[in-house]
Amino acid sequence: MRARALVTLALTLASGAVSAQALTSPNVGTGLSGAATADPAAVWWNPAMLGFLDQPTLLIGGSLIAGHAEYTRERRATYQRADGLGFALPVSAQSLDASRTGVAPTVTANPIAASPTAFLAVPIAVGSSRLVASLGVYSPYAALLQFDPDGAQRWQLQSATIVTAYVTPTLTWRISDAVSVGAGVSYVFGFAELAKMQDFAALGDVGAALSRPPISQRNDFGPNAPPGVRELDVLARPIRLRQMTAHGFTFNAGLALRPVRGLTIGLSYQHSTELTFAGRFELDLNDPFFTRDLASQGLQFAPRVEGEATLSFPLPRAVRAAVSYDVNPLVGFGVTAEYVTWSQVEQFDARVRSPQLAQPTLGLADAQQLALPRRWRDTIAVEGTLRVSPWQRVMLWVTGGYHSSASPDETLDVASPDGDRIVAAAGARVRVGDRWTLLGDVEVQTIVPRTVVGSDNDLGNGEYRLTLVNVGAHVMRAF
Amino acid sequence: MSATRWILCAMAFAVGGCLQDLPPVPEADHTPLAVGESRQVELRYLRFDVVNYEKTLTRADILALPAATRSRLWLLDLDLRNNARAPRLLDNSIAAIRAADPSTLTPAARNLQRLLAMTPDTADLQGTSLAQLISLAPLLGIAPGQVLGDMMNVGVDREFITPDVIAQAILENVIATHPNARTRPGPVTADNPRGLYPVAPGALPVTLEDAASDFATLSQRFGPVSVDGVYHPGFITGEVRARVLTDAFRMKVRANANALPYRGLDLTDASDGAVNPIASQIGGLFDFTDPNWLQLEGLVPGEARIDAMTFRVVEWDGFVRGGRSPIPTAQGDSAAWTLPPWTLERVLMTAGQRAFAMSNANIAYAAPGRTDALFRARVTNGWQELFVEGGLGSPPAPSYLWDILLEVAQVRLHDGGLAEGMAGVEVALRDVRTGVDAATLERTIRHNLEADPAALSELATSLIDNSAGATDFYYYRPRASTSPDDDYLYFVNEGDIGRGRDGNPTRMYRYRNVGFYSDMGLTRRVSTTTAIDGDADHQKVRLRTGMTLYCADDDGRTYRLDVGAKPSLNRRRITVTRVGS
Repeated sequence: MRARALVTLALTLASGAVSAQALTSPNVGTGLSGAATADPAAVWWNPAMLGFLDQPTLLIGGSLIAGHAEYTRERRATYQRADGLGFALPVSAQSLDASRTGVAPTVTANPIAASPTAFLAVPIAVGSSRLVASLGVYSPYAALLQFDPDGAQRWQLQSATIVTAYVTPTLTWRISDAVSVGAGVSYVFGFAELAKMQDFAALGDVGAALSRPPISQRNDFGPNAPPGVRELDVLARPIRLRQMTAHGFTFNAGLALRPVRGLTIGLSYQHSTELTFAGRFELDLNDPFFTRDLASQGLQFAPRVEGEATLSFPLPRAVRAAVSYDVNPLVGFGVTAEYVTWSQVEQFDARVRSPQLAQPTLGLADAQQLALPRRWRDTIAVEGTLRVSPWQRVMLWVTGGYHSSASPDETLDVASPDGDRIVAAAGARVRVGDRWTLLGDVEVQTIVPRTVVGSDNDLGNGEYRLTLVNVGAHVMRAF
Repeated sequence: MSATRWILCAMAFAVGGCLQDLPPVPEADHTPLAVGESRQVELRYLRFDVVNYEKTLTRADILALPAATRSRLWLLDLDLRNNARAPRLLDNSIAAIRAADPSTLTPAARNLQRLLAMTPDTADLQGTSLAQLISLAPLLGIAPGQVLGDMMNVGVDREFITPDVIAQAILENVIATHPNARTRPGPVTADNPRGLYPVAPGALPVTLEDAASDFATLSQRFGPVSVDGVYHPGFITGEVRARVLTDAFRMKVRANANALPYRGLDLTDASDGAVNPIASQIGGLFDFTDPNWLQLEGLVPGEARIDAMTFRVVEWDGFVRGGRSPIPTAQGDSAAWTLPPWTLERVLMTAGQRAFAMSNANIAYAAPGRTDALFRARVTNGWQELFVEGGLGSPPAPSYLWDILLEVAQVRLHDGGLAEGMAGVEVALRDVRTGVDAATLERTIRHNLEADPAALSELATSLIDNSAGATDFYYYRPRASTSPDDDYLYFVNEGDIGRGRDGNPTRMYRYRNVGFYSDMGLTRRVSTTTAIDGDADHQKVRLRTGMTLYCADDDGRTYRLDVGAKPSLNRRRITVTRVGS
């Protein structure tokens, strides 16, 4: 479960700016940056667009992201008393707790995160052709969530911190004035920490151990454990994933066309990659049930279990297409679309390892692997931008768009408060002198309040609300 | 988390981590409560109701159990009684002695073998009070053995005492008098605080330890022993080996129970304690309607056999004359009757009495060519009288036939120059059938355990060993109750004391004031033994929020219990205050 939360966050964060979900940075670069925009942030969006830069250009700045995530859990199933320990259905009538069914108090998280960026593009003349070498350092994904540790969501997530950094060198070849191609290789560094309440009823290995000799008890524990055996006080154990770091490599490539004056067409491909976080975990098992009551049956953990943890998941492929057209020097517009193959993500595997986890008598090894179903869907995102230049040195723009959700109702939970999003943004660009340009923008993303009733095993039913506000400020310098 | 740290985490990819650490595992405070000091605790009642919980024990598992547990689990009484149609262990042992190669026997055993096979024809009366018969018989033209046979109503070539009679005498005199063969272990109850129960006459109690050790423990249990000042020399000595269980032996038990201990308190420091729940659930622990509640696999197929066993009967140190008086009736006045029952002499007397107590005869012998009787013998209920006419000699004094037999046997047992006291016999037996087959063993064990499942309580308690701490009382809620008012405190009883690796209690049960009281002087007890879920043994009291109770620990210190609120249905807070030294 902890792995699921982490992976969910990580993957949703990795979906990119156009289809920004959860608490990702809505933008990499400026609000104008995109697959058909010739600015240094094209290192991320479409490296081919760098071919249309005529001067060495530096872009630095960042985004301050503030969010409000809200979840009102509604348990729709029947639960037993939290202080009970029925491990298979049906539990006796006197063990049921009707008060646990229904709406739980709303929990909220109000994260604030900064997402810095720095890009440098340097054109190099090679004969009649032009190459552009670029380098980008940016943080496209940052997630800071901190919910009430005792809230009804605690089995999905209590708090999470995820940041990623990309270092991407690119090389772009402007074949002609109308055609440019480019590609980049990214080194990806990730850092994550997460806290949640681990429900041991959801662990298949625990269920299997209980069903085997010497305990040999039929039980319903496992990833698909019914709600009636979940979320019991004894089996809810605090867990921390700490100092998880990931290192990965990926690449992107793009094509840019300017077939006619004022028209730019961009097409880019972001390759998938496997990102593996590795770090430590801490698990609090300081309850007599785990530490001594069944010791003669072979169940005897240390009160505090610590060890290594890894979590691997694929980042999906993404295809971006964008069209930008300047109707005249005063007015222009653009349309961007992105398709992300989130359906690559069927489930996640996480592994924790510690000698303290081993319970030989029960057949529990020192390493536990978790299979966590996600069954995500491919997503599509569409945005349109209208640009207006009322003055010679000033451009204003507004953006509106729609991002579809990756998470189906069945697997949605608070770790990825996902949903169909409405995007609205506005910004301004001001040229200062010949070489300096200042950019500022504000973007608001909000999901249509999403009410889920079909969550697997009643884990994530309820209403989700999410609003993100991104305030970006950048400066661009041409040399 | 501070905003600064958030920013650091996000911007600097903080390596040190941004989550707060898990709180440290709290250290239990084991400082004894001082007078006037209070601590608040929260008790939890949690059930882990296992169904058909199956525990499999191999021989090795059984032998690894605490010795006290092994030796206290009685399986069956091995029936030794003689049975002409189905010979038992004792019959087979005697038959083995009779059939043994004399050259393999010790002189004493060889003499016993000859004694068992002795007939009127082979009886050597030399040196006995009947020696005169030897000289008188030729005058009458008959053999001495004929006289003996006629008096005892046995053929001259038939044993004086049949094997079944001697077996019965051994059973009654030697085996049944052994303290460890008179009682068997069983549950310790208020009515039977020693946990000893009578054994069926003619049987040997067999414990789990005996079976698991292939009866190697028999020589210890049925060897020399002194109990309550009474000595018994035992009847099994040396190495014993049997084939009862194969290496594939498995004992499987299925139980239905709450496998979690009851959580309670050690008043001394108000620390958490746990009481093993098995004993209190013994009534419903096993489903006897399920034929698989107990499975015994790997018993040696067919009839169980004793591979090696040395049977022992000791002789009294001195020659004991037969009696000369018919009083007491049907017994006589031989000093042999005053000997311990397990002596060989006493065994012979018992066997003779059993064989000849109903013998009656009236016989007369005349000299060749004459019609008048010169020698007459009259036997009335075993009492023999010989009459000789014409001054032919001095007939032996009247006596019971077993008095005669005793003297004959004692003389013959010392043939070869064995001194008195050295004729005690130790007969090494090989490959003796017990007369009990695997099916009977399995059936008998199952029947006995079903009749008294409490016998398994120690084993079950040992298997689910989850007692902890020196708990003085524990928290309990009736099984089916959903009422928050159904909270109880149970004061521990002797059976709740945890067991150590050796199977013995980890501490003495030395409470002077058992239960809960309404006054600090512990004079008004408010707890009762009201039956709840089948438990009518524990002192228990129903809790109400805000009530005050008093109780004492096993060191006599007094405590006040202030009953607090219930955080949930199965939890209860209590404040413990030490109020007396």
